[in-house]
Amino acid sequence: MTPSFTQPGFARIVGVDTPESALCHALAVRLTEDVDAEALRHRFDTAVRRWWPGPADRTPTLWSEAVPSARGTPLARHRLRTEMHRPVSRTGPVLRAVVLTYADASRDLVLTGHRGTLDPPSLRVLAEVLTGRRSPDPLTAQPLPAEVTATPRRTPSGGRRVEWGMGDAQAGDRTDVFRLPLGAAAGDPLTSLSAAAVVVLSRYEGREVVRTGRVRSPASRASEALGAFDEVAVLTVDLSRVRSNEDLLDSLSTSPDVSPQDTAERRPDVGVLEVAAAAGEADIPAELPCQSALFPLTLVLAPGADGTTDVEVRHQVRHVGAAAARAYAECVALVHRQLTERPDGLVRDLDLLDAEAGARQLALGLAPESAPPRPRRIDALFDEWAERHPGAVALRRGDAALTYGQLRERADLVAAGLRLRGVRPGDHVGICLDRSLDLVVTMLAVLKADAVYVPMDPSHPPQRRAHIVRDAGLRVVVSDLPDFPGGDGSVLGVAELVRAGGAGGPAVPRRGPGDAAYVIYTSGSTGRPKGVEVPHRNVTGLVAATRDDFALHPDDTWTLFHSSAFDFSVWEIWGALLTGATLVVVPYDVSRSPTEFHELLVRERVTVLNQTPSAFGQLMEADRRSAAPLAVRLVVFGGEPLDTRVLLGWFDRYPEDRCRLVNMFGITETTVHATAQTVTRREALAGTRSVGRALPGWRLYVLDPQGRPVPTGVTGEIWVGGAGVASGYLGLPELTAERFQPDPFLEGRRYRSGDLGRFRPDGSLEHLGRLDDQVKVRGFRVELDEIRNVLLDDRAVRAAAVLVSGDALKDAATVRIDAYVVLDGQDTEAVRRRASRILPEYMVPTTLTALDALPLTGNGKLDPDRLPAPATPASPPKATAGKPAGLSGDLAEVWESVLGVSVGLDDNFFALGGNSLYAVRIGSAMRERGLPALSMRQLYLTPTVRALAADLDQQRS
Amino acid sequence: MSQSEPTHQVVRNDEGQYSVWPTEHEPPRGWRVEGFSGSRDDCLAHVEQVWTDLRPVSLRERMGPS
Repeated sequence: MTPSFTQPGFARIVGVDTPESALCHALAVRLTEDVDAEALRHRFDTAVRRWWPGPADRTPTLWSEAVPSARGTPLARHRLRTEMHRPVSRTGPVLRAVVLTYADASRDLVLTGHRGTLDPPSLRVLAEVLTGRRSPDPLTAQPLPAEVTATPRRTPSGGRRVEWGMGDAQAGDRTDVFRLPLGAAAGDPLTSLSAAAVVVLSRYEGREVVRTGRVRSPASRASEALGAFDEVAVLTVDLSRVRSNEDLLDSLSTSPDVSPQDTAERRPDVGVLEVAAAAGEADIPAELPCQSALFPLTLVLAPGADGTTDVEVRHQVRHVGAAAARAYAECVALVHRQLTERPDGLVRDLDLLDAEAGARQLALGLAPESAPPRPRRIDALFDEWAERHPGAVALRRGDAALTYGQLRERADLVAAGLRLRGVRPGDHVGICLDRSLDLVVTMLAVLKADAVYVPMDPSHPPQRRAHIVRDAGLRVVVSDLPDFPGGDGSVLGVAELVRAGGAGGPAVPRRGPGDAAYVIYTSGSTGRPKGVEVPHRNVTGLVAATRDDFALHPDDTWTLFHSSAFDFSVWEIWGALLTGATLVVVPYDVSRSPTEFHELLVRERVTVLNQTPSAFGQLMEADRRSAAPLAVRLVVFGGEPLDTRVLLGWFDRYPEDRCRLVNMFGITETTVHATAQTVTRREALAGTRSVGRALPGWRLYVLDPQGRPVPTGVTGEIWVGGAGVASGYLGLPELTAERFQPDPFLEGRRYRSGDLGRFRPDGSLEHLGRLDDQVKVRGFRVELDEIRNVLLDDRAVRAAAVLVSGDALKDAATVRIDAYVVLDGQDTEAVRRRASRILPEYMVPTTLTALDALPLTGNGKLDPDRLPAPATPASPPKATAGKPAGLSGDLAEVWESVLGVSVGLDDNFFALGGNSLYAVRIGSAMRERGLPALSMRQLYLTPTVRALAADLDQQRS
Repeated sequence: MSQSEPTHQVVRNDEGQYSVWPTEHEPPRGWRVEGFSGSRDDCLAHVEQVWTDLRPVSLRERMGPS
């Protein structure tokens, strides 16, 4: 077999952005005094004539250069290093040869080659020939081909970067180098280095099957040959098939290479190389395996100075930054040691971090100053403010207001009323009230009655509220709704409680700060929402953790914008009332209209604003249209991922020194917020995904599936410990024991979030989505399994699948829930009607498509790729000829342009895929066209073009 | 690994809160081994049986039976 002159294997590992210098290598040999310059030149010319007789442009030349400085001086070392890094072209002379003569008459011979034509052993043989230590006679060279094609380049598929690399996009082609001791190797050192690299990569990528590159000289290489004989392998290793460390080493020493034709695969991010010669002059290696890194992270097995082995790390800074490269290499060194010391150990027991590195990772998750907050009760802390400034305004809604003194007095009355109605300490009390002053009064009153409040949104379907009444064992619900499903308990109005409370006196709560204050229901995968029980001290701890940093002050004005059933409101209410500030209650209609909400913010001179990124996007639009500036000094984002880049326009109007923007990540189970990241123009420009460091008193962990901390930059599951951890899920001991586990580093428990994240070197956390299929729909947390189970509870539904589509970061309004059902019968509309009686609006599937069967994969799992496009949400097109004239025609046009579907006069807005964000856009589009003003409530009450047009017409006349 | 080898144990803290913990490690400070061990799912099922009152012990003692 004639070995091929060009080495096709490199095509599998070289990316389009890999510079040619990655394939160039060099050898430096010190010429001893007995090597005569003329004899060297003669040997060179003879060798060249024999092996590379032509063509002329490929014939190498021996260059000679004088260095005006003695060996070992900075200049001399610089010249040598530069010479070794000068690339050669694969289509030019086959090698470059230079003799450097220093001022002290000592000399170095530098040979540079390209792996596509000459491999490193060829240069070693050549150096021996040129220095007269080897006869040229038995040597043969591969013939040069007549034509040379460029090295084929692999596109890193989709331009994807190295996920864990934290690379520097500005670094260009730069390669950085550092060295770590590796210790002794067992057996073949390149195999044990490869094994360590494979294990680390598997943990980094969170998968069992990983691919790494390996370039070496095959054992079969003839020692008398000159040419390109590198063996380029892409090692595909399935770690689920190996058990012990020995198994792994064995499987790597027998060739695990996949077929060289797998060019569809992405190039490997990590690869290993070997070097034969020991290190040379000071920090300059005698042999340079690649002038720039061959792989994004290249691990070079290098003999150390005293017989030990080193790993020399060469990394493409653009793909793998300095911190990530060092962290990876340290893991490799540690795993390598375990592999060689404990051959019978299990692969899954290999540690990536030693005790010291593990402790360092754990420390990253702890806030810099973390004295645990003093546990307090919410109502006790409120009473202190009422004592301190009874005349300050606590609550306002329109013209109505309550001072701290009045709020305390009214809450005391309601609390007494509750006790007289049989509410005992520790009881759960439901609250289902519109956004009013009495909503907040009642919450405070329930706490003062030493009970636990369970908020329910009046807009949620009655069946959902009925479930909560049963699940939380509510004997008393405070509600002004005439139709509230009472169950066995009693439904009481606020006014009634105030009247009754006149007869009772205040009581001092007996329960402590560690006892429950509220239960908030969140989406549960079983098809029923689950109640998260949160103690007083978590809420007072949250306020204590943020008060100084956010400079929360009695002069602040906050809004209560969010539903009391969404725990963002816990922060809004108690953040304001436990810092002595004023809380402005935003009526539901106003919260749905960015224009009206903007007017409210201006009118009330609101200084602290809390928003989901979707809602804030709408508000920024309203702010651009408005001439009136806001008084907001602090915006807190929560509830969903934030695309920081969209904030650049905001900074133009509200500079960072005037209004601070803070992105917070948190979970209901850890009390609203767990981290904080201030976003400045710099972060926005960089498009940061950081959600910041842990709040003081909170603690973050990023762990692998075995519960071990993962290195910086590596994705793992986020666990949250410390001051915010909830008591558990009401009535669900098994789920509570599973999600809330002992915290080995703090007292108490830590919560296993199911969220994916990774630490950055400064301890800030990047949030990277979910492990399961929980999704966020306009800030609301939704378990797709809950929707699926609700559909399956329908007798007509035999099978169901639920998916989410759209990109929340691009446009939250496009996020859509698509359901597929297999029916007994045909009536999808009946299924949808039933679901909408159980699920809140944001969880009702936008589309419902009936199928004969769900497409399954070979493993029997749902195959989402084979699901058809969802049925269009619109009703079948109406047989109307042309567009109707007048207002209804204009309205239909607006709806079509916003919703992107054809609209019939009697199509229901929600059935067409409408949601609150689209409603807002329709309002804006109508205003732009000079159509009548539209309130959200009007659209919700008359959700068809015909009814809405009639309503608006009536208004005008 | 044989099917019956216990991987997890049920643990309980001073507040009477239950959880599960790998058998190969000692439970963290403040947690005691409750006596049941088995697979993770077995342990969780056991917790479902024995943890009937989720209120912290300190509270239960103050409030009496609910």
